[in-house]
Amino acid sequence: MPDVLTDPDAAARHPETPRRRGRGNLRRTARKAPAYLVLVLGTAVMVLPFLASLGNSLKSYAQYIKVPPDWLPDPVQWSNYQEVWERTDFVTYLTNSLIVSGAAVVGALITSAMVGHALARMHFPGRDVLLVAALGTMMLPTVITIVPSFILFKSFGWLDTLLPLIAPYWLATPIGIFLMRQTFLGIPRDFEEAASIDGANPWQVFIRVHLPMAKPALATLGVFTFMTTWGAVLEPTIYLTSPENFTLPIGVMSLQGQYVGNDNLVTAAALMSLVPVLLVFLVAQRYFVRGVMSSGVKG
Amino acid sequence: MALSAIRPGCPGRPGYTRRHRTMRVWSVAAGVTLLAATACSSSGDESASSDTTTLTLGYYAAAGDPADTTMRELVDEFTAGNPDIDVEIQAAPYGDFFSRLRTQIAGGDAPDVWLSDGVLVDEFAARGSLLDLSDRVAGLNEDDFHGIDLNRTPDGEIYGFPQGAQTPVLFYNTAMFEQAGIDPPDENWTYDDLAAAAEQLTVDENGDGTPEVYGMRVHSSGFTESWWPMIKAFGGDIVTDDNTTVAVDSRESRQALQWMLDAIGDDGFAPDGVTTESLGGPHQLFANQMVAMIFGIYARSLPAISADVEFDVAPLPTGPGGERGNVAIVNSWVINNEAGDEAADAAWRWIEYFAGEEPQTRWAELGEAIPINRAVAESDAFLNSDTAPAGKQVFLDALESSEDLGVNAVWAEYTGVLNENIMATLDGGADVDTALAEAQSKAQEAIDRFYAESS
Amino acid sequence: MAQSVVTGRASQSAARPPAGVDNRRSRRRKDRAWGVLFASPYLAHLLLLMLWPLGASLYFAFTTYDLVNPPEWTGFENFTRLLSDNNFWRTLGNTAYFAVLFVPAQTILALLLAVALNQKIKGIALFRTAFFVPVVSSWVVVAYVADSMLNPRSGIANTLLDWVGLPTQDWLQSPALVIPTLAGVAVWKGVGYMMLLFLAGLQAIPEERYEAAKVDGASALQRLRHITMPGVSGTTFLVLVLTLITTLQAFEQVFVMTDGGPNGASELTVLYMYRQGFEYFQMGYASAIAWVLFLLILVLTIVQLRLQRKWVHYA
Repeated sequence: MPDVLTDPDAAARHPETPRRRGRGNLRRTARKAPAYLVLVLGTAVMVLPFLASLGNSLKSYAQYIKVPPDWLPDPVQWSNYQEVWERTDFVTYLTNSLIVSGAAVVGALITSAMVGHALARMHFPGRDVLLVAALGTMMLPTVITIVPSFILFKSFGWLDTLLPLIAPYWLATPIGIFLMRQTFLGIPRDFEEAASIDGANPWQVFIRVHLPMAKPALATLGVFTFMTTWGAVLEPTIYLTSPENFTLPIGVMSLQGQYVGNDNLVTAAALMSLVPVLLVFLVAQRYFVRGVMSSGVKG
Repeated sequence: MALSAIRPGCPGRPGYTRRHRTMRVWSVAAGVTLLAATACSSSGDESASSDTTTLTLGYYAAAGDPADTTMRELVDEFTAGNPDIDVEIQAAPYGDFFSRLRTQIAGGDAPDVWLSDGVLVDEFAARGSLLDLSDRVAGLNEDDFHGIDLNRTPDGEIYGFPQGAQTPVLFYNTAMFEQAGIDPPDENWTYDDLAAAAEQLTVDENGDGTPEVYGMRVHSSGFTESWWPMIKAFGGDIVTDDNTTVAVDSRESRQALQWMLDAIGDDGFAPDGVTTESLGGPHQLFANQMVAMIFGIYARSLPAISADVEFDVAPLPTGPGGERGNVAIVNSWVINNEAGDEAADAAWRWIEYFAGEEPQTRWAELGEAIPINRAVAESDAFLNSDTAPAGKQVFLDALESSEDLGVNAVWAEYTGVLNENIMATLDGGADVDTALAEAQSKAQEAIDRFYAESS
Repeated sequence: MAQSVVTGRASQSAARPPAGVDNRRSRRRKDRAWGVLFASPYLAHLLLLMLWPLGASLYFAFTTYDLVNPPEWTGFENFTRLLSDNNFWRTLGNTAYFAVLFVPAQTILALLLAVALNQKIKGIALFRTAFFVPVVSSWVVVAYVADSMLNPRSGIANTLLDWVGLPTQDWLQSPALVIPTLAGVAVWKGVGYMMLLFLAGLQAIPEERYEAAKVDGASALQRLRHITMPGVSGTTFLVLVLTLITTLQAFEQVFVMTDGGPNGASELTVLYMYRQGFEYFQMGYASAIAWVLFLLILVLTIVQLRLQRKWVHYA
């Protein structure tokens, strides 16, 4: 039902809101003019820089650094994309990035929901300490644990593998725990009490009652985890040494030159790295945007 | 295909000679060690250490750049000639390379041999992470190479063997000089000649007060091509006393900074800091022809060539005291102090190989660094190659009379302090006297923090 | 102290249904076992991945540690140095400035966009995707894309300013503007995600409330003030806590976009810390900075948690 408010397709499908033409429609459109204005302007601000970058990515080095600049590449140097393709192992980087982000999202969802559930609904010694610890570790800058973490992962034999980038997410992230706990706190107790009277054990209550009700929060967390892992620069830089293990951002950066910046190539590579994730978004947005919106994240 | 990356590998490799790493792993908690033991059994490590040595080799380059490609070809040729050595390459762009390297050193996992920015050799050496190469260098004829002396510490040790040299000279845009009808710079130029020519070369066609082309780039966050040689040319000094006493707060430094301020000022011929950055940054101005002259190291030829600039080079001009202030950075191969004897020997063989005539000639063709092999540097392959600039002899002369860039154990930190304060002056805010005094005391503080503690 | 604040709600709901004593005891034991089981991933996280790094970094804070040689205990020396380190305080000021600009700007804009998107609009999928493009771009990508916008000579921003007759700006190259510009870019990158959070919150407000208000003759503005804003206060709180915590640790953006320049004007505390630790070999000092920053963030979070009671309305 709430989908109707934001999803035009749902509105079309909905029997109570047939598409009417005529004066009513006009008035309604006029009423929405400010919203359209905001959205169109916003879209321009969001997309224009990418278009300008597209132009830059097709310039020669000399034209790229030219002042005052030419807006359009001349000649259009498509070979930049070809060169990126030849210099880097793009498919490998993409695969690695997808593995890292995919595994991290799945892991973070499962484990954060479990721990968040435990903190919101269960009683066990040290629960409060755990909550404070989760909040606390969220606040300590990660830069500072890099050296000890490096030593740790080295002792696991994990250097130059994707594991240091994934493993933390399979052990529940602080932000995930915090988000899921808040969500579960907002779900009325009546449901699970009804379920436990029916003889369900806590795991069954969690799976059947709580998880379905937490879908919006799970979608939110999923997107957040994807964002953080997909764009991560520092940790992959530290842990990954072989090109066959690079993730996309590291692969893009590997083109940066010390003396000749290769800026045109790096821009091309940066845009190339965007295409797959945008495709994923275009396909998946219906599902997860609806997921996020089907009910609220209640505090 | 990339799934293999998920599977944990074990640090121990066949032929990987491990020395005492206990220092490094001094504080790994007992539990962690236990986990490590279960995750990675060490059996099999020692068994294969018979005939081949695995050498991990690190360097910085952009993926697929000519330097990267040539380096990989040379490594292939090296291993072909040395079948008992396997080389594992760890390459990354400059910045990433060094942030990772420091973590690797802390974790006892740094490459056996790596290419170090010349100015950082002392930093790593002073903390004990580099192998002393003095004895090995003694086996070579020092006169065959450039830059060994510049790498010698006050105590006479050598921790880095030259890979390629850089020294700033005066780059000038020949087309602009011709158009303005000005004679090209020569070895007799003084800072006054420089200023006069730069003024003439500054073009403001539409008269809006913002020149379309500037005579020279003076302001640069990269001080090797800016205030460092300028202060020295005016007779000033940056550090003395084996590079442990800061001496920048002097009358000569003030004169040099004043010359720079006049150049940057309203009637001047050089873009100020903000303009420099917004025109593409100090290292792009010459390539995009926004300035007619820069102080530039040899590698600045690369972007200029990429952008089809017609240019040549001349010696740095002389200051009031007749000095040019030549300085050099000798990028060097260094060997990890933690590398086992076999790996260290293999690393040295790589270094010797790289210094040889054939590899040096190949490296020279890249146009990125002055060859450190004197025979190659004086050969036609370098001096009379087709690539610009024509006057490559200028670099060799400059290198011959160069001092080091004030290297010591805290080079990055203390020069950072100096640069910050000097930039504060050049950007028009801070008073020159105060800034130099502040620069001197804060930089000295950084140096003392290290040297006072270790002495 | 933080405990009572953050766990307040949970402990209120700790009442269990009455039962026989034996029954209760065994149920409790079972409850505990389930609780520990559910919490085990994070217990493992703390023990395996955090305990040693956190302990080590806390220990480093009281030592000089140059990454090469073992740390040497120096007591509170790093902390006393910190107190008189003007650069540290300057970076803290920069960080606060960045946060003060960024956090409210992103929150307000995200809410505004969510309200605009929370109605029947043609081409909504397109708009949503547009706002999400920067969200899924890594900072490396953003750095290059932003240059096409903000380059003082060649960027779109100045071209537009010039076009409408306003003075052009030096953006990231200007010491005065660099932090506001970085904050603007951060909003540009992050607003799409926060907008999504707000959309979810808006969807949770029952439509009947708006209907009732309309019947009472409330204006659009009044409805925003009295229904929408209280309705999303829970989401707002979440957004604020998350944004503030991540903002105070902002690193990658500055690292790839300005590296602290021009001349230190955009050096944020975490970048300063990185420099000390990784460029100047002073990991002990860097760790001390990290722990002081941690304490500051902790205090701010506790303040936020206390304040939430005053303005967050739970449905």
